[in-house]
Amino acid sequence: MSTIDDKLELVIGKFLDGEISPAEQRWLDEQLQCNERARERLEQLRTLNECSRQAVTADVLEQGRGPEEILQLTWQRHQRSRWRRVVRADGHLRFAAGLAAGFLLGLLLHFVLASGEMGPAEPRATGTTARDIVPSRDLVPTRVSGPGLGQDARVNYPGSVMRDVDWYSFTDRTGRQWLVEGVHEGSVRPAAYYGDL
Amino acid sequence: MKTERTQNESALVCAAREGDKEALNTLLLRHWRWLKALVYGVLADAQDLDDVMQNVCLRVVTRIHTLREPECFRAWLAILARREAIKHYRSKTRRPDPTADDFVAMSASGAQCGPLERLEQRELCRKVLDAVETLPEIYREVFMLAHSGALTYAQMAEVLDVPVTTMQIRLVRARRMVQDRLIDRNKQKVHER
Repeated sequence: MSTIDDKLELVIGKFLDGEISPAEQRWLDEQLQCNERARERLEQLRTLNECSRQAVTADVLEQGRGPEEILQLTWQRHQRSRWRRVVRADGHLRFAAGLAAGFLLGLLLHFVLASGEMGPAEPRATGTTARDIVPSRDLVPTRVSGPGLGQDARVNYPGSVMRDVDWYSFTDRTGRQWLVEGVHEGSVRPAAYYGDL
Repeated sequence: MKTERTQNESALVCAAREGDKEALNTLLLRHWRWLKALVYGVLADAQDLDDVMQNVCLRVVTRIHTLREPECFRAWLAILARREAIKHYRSKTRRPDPTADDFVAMSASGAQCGPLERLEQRELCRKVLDAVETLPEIYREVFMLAHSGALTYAQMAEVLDVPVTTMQIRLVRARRMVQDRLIDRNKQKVHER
């Protein structure tokens, strides 16, 4: 193919695609007037162009699903994949979540075991607070043996146990030490004592 | 007018980046024709076209926030679509990319159609498309884009990421190849008779 043929095809192509410049249009007009081959080539390319446009439109662009349908499906897929991404978190996130869960479980176990160890303990004397453990309502004042309220001081707790009771001790004017049971906030009743009443 | 359209498109891209679904739909619908033509240009097969188009759309939806320059949307979209189409082509079809040699081989393999004059318009279109499918990818892409009627030469060059003159030369060659292919078929048919 000669250079003139190449240029002719290029300009005819531009003409058919609506991209021809005025100067090229003038050149093409001249060629078409004096050149039989140019006219023939124009007709061939025009036919090919029409067929190609028709083929591309009918057999490719208008085939299959419409754009709106594909977009709708895309958004649905996007929604699903977004949820999947949340569920299927990446490695670091999973590691952190596992660590946090382990920590919480450890904390929970710690408190459960600690409360189990405390159990129904005895009240401690001399001003210490002994929550959760209380003598029964029918507690009969019992004399505690021994000279003072030391570590060995014990109170008998017959029957059931009552909760939310504090224990206090005080020394009166005569020097006697008293162990006092505070059943409720604001009310106090003696639970154990030294000496005669 | 062109600037106004560009500004409008940039505004749509900005809105889409912020998560505006309608803006993104409008953008994709606006670019649909040439996008589909480009994907077909890579695949050379209309069978999985819808699936690939859906993948491209999904890719756009999930990646639009990474687009920094809204005015580059068309070029960005073309890169994304081409990558997705090539990925699909490699994973699914597993057939070698047609080369110029294949084109010659296909031309020599004979055809079952009659002379060009006797073909119905519809059949001729089908033959044109068959010939297009045998073109090397760079020529097939430009041929499809040019005949989708959706882009100017400058826009086609932008989509293909080549200078306008290169694009024009490719288009001339692609047309010549398709025509030669059709003429060869006819000659072959006459010989057979």
